[in-house]
Amino acid sequence: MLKRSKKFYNWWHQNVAKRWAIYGSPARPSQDECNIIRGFIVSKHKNHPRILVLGATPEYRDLAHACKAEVTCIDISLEMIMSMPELMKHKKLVSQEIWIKANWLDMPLSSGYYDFVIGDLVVTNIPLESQTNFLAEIRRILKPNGYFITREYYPPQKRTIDLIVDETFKRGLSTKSINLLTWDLLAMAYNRQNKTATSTRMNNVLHQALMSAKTKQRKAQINRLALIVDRHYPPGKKWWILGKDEEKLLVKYFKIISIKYGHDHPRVAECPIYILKKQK
Amino acid sequence: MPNLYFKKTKMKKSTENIRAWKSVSDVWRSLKPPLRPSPGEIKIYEQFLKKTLAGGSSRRALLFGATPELRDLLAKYKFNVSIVDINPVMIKAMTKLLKRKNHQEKIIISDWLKVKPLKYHYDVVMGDQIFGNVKFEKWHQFCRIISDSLQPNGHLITNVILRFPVKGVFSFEKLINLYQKYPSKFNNIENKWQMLYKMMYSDKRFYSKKNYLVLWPAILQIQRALKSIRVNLDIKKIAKLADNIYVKEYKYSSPPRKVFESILGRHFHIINSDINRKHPVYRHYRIYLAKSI
Repeated sequence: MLKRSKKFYNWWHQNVAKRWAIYGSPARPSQDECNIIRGFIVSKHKNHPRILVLGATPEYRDLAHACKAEVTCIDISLEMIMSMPELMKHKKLVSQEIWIKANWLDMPLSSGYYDFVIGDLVVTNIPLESQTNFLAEIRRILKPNGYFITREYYPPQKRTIDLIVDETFKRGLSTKSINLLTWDLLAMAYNRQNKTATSTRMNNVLHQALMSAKTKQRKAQINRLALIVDRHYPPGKKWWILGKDEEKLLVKYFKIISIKYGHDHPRVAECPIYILKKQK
Repeated sequence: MPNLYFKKTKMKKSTENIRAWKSVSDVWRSLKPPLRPSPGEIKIYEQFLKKTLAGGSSRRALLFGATPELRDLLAKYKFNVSIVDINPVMIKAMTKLLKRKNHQEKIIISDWLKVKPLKYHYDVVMGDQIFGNVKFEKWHQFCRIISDSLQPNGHLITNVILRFPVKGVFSFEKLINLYQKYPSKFNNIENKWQMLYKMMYSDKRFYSKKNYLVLWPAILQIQRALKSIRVNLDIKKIAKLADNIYVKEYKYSSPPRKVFESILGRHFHIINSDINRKHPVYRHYRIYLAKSI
């Protein structure tokens, strides 16, 4: 396994940028989820809001442009920000964005500047010990009446790997189906004690299933999935997932205005959209 | 520093992008002073930077452009640097040429005139020939942006290309005659650019005294001017004369010293200014140390 060094993360981000097109919901926000966020922004701020996109998510950059916003994107990887426009609808508006390559824990942005900060599965990318600093930093850059809108991840109850494999083959090996498979494997790889999940563990789950498979046909099936998952999520990446405890952390810095869910993919219940207002 | 690309470069395929920034870094590596900061100028930058350190312990710098020589200098003095440039490809290319890597560098891809949401009040703002890349009419606005990003008593250190008074007329025709008769005179890049500057500032086709706009002697500009005087010159010779930097049109602002200092003086207190005295061509490149008011 590669060490989680700076070099690894550079490599990971460059690869994620290349693979982004094969990801889909629930790993990426769905159309319905984007509409919920867009609808809220438009209802609150009709004139050129200032929106900070945490990361480079093309769907969020598109929705920010659709709101006629002044858009800033901040990510640790410039490659990610640079390559995402290929997947955007508002490609021409990309030149109006401000791009920042910096750590989310130390953003070179002025206090009280943004009307909205939007992010997709952002807290899970921050180590547990830094999550409070991260939320404090978001609160700092928001205007007094600013909103933090984030789609989060609540891991469901674990299912058996056999059930997941069966469901995948039942659906067929389409991109959509593979995305659901990797999402389910993430839940399998989640360690509730140390609140982490890793792509290495995702791969290991399949390898263990391969070892215990009883028939040749089953082995071939799992082997095929293992190869696909390895390509989607190469080993080495770590996520920090608080699950439902995350809400306790969020309310320290924000007031929960509403929690919404999309309707257009089978895992919407695991991806609540938090609409949070800056606590005074 | 010359801005080789002006618009945010769209990344189509990563391989194309790698090729693009490799070519930019190769071009930059092949350039020699005065087209990139000379060692003499870097010494002046360093002297000025040392003066700014006398005040406090905080070391935060905002760098306009991605000039590797200045990034090396700031890394030497352990500054926490934020870089602002419109072109990510340029930054990637310039990063390859760094001698000292600063892992704490933050990068902001933005138009210099739109960098509003900055958190820090920087101790130092630096940039090589940054004013030239901004339209002369917007210099006040640019000064305000710099001054807003500085903390009280923060410093600006920058090199500005200024129009140095030219005695008599050194026309384009004269330059081409000299180039054809005595090509060896143009082998020394500093001599050549001294003559090119003399020509630019005395020829209306290359310099407008109204808005202080220089039409850089790029390959196409020289070709066009040659047509107007009905002289045929081999493209290789033209490229050699123009140092092969730009093919198409490139403009920058270059007012006389008095004009620049009157603008800068409205926003900053000018503490010192100096030039590299190694060669007369550097009279055009004056480095300023100014303090925010």
